[in-house]
Amino acid sequence: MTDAFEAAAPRGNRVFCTVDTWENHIVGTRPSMASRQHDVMRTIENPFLIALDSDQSDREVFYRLSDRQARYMKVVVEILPRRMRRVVTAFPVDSGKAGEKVIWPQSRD
Amino acid sequence: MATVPRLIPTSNLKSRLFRQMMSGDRAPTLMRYDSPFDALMMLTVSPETETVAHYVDDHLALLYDPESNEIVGLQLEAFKKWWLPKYKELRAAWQVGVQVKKAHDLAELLAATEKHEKKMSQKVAELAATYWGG
Repeated sequence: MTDAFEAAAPRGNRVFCTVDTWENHIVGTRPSMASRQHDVMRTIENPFLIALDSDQSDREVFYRLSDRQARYMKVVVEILPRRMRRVVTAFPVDSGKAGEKVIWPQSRD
Repeated sequence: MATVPRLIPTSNLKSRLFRQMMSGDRAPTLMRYDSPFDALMMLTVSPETETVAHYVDDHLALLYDPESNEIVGLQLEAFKKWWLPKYKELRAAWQVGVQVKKAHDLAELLAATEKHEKKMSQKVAELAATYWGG
């Protein structure tokens, strides 16, 4: 499966997004995300917070305040072996979820 | 308490289109289940419209147009994991959709899909409104 992009995340992890995920899931669901790949990569590379997903323990969530007003870019990634992460989805939000547990920068592996 | 501060209060969002969705006066333009993310997304405007997700709680997000603050859709997260087990009426409507996919020809499929999506969106909107209290 070819990758749409790969980015280096804090905590020494590498995050990749497949072409299928980008085109069919992210842009396929939200066409306005087509021009936001760079924002998604910046969110992964320089988030202001990383948390464990509130529902799935094998998922992490990255947040970064967007350049656009009053929103964050949220990127959900799946935890894989060998410090790899795979993008599951990405979309704009205006808050996090109460059940998310912060893992960076408040604690480090 | 949310880890990521809320930027827009819920009271700033407008619900005219959402109420039309609830009453069945407005059919969905998009109803899509994202399997890897386990989320059902429903929109009442063109999918080209940029939307922002506003979490009511960990399982329900209102999707709004940031230009107008109008609620234009819903995103039900942990849909199969949490929503379907919890709400029998949603399970029933979802199963109808599964059956629709078994229609014998394209015309039958299109007609049945349109009918199902309208019914499903109304059911989802009613349930979300009850759940959210909005």
